[in-house]
Amino acid sequence: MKTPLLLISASISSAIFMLILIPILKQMAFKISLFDKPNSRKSHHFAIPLVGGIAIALSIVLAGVINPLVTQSFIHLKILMLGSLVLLVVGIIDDKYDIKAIYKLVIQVFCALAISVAGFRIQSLFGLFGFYEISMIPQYLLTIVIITGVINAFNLLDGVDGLLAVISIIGFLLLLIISIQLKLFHLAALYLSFISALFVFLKFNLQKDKIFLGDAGSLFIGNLIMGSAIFFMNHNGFGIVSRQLILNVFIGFLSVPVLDSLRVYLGRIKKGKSPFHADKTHIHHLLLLLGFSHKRITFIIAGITILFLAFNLLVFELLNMVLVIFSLILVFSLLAFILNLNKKVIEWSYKIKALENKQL
Amino acid sequence: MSLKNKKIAIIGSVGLPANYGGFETLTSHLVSNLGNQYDFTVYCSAKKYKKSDRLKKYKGARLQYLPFNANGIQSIIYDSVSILHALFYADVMIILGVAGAWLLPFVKLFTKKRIIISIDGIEWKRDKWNRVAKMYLWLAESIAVKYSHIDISDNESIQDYTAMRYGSLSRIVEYGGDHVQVVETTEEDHKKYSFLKHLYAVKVCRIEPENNVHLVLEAFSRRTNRTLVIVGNWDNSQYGRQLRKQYSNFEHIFLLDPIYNQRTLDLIRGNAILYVHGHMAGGTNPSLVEAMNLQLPILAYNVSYNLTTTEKKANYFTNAEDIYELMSNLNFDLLKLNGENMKKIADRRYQWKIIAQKYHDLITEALSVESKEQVIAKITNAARNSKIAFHQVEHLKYPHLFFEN
Repeated sequence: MKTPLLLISASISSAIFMLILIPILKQMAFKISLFDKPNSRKSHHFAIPLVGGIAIALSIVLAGVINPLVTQSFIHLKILMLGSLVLLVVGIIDDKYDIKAIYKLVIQVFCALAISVAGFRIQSLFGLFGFYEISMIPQYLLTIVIITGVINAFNLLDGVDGLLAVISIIGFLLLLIISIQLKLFHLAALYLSFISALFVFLKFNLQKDKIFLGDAGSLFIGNLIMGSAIFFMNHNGFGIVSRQLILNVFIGFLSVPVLDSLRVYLGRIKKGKSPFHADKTHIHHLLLLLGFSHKRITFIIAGITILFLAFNLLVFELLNMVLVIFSLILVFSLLAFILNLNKKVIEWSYKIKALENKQL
Repeated sequence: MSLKNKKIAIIGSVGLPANYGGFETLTSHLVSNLGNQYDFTVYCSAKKYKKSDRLKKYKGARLQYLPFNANGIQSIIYDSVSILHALFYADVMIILGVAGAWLLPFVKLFTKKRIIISIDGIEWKRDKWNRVAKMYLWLAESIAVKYSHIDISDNESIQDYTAMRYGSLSRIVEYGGDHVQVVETTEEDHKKYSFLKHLYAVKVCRIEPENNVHLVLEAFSRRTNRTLVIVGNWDNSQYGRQLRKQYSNFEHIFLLDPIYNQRTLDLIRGNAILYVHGHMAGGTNPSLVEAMNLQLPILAYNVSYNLTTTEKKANYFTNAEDIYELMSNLNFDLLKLNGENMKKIADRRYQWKIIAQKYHDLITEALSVESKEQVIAKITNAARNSKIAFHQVEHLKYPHLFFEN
């Protein structure tokens, strides 16, 4: 079969597999109690099956079984795929039994280590902060920190309907464009099947009788996107400038989830709590306090992500990368400051209400 | 150096002569009571005084007109420009309201000007503000408290709030109400206001949901033989127009437009048998204090501000049912006692002479203090390995503070 046909069939087949698998998995989820129970931090009131990630992973694997292009991509990225599948399993276990954050982190670090041993390493900073090629030990350390950081940021972003799926679609679209530029059509087929699977997931996620991605989904997808980005940054098919551009684009793409997770961790540490102590301080929680619906919040955060991405693309040749990162942090901090101000006003309104109603 | 030469700027009121709300009346009485001890400059809004009405001096105070509105969004510019202007001469700035507070860190850092700021009620919580305004006022208030030498709240509940939020001690200075007077009715009055011959309850307020006008009207519309008079700006909002339409057919309910003539206002209030005070927001309300000075029995909304203002000696309501109950079983002896108690409290607390004296004391203090008083004892912040543990007196680090009751 010709390549374009294979590309189209890859995306169609993964979508069809999703449509078949989700209803089956949904049934199974209730049998093996793989669902998200509502609590004070959650914005839903019913048990929701956590099968989105499993469905996506299975659909991609099945697409790989019938589509030689996708199969080829598995072979090309085998360690990354394997690592992602390990994280998927860890995620499933976490979804069912709630693993301690520290064990999860250890497993994530090991996966990241395996991936970096396989060659998916950040080898150069392309002049960022004045660094170009870096030596072996910093390569490993930086790669592990960034991979675990990003997959956890993805995990934390998964708080309102549709958000992580839309952000992931943007990420896979970037990877798709890059792989087509490099004429690596087997990878394009892989990313295309992810995109169509995510679109089908979105449909199920946004309907009334919904499903979630689960930790399984967010870890699996986060790892694949980040691993692929590192893969392309190291790819010899590009000149140095294009690789620098890839770094720049992914900094723009990841800035919202990563900066928000850093902000949340810092906030928790400042309060004297563990950085993994769950709370309601994420950007989507703050936006919920403004009275926005889930769809609206997804739209806003995706919009900011695209804006940051576009900004990084536009100023790529004009501004120093440090300056670009600095301005992203500045804009994000301002946004977070305003959202937090709103949160505090609401919190103090409740405290004052209590004071006012106190019988003296 | 004698205090005679100290120059005081009063910032944030609409201006003098006072025609408007609490801040303006306060300014007017500060100027007349303390005018021979300080040189006052009062900032006035040129938007509210026609060119022909503008005075250079009023009761000895210099008047400075600025072309902005003193309220609403323009108050930020109005207050800011006033503060900047006052930097050139003032020793002490008395700032009424927090809109211009963003300048205070700079004023405190770079000058030796003394800042006394009245944070008013909890302005950022008022329903009339939109989200952005609330956030600005919330922030401005924290700057105001942190970067002033003395901050003033007008009610104990607000003092509790500032202690909770900032850990600093706010001073309580309320309002006076003794500028009102009991008016004897004339025949002309009776012709103009037919309800004067009835026993009637009265309420004077802005027609806003925060003042619970709807509850009062609902209760009185069910009880047909008690007359009710409400004076307010009915045409200012949808809420007001709707209420006026809904209740205009009741013969015993009189809904009057705002009255700016002091005698007429005192006439209508002073001859009532009951003053209904529905305010649920913002500290000590000048209108309540005025009613207390008129020896009116008070029926107030049950919220901590009103409880402290009336020292829990008035009648209170939380819903229309409460008002209905009280009006159905009126006990005139108890009402009389209520009114007498209110007058006693007013004579003791809500006199302009007393209020002006408090401001005088605060000005004197502001001229001498370097930092603000904290509510938390120094020992609370003492180092962990100090002698406190050795002497087994660690409990002293955790005192029970006045707002934690």
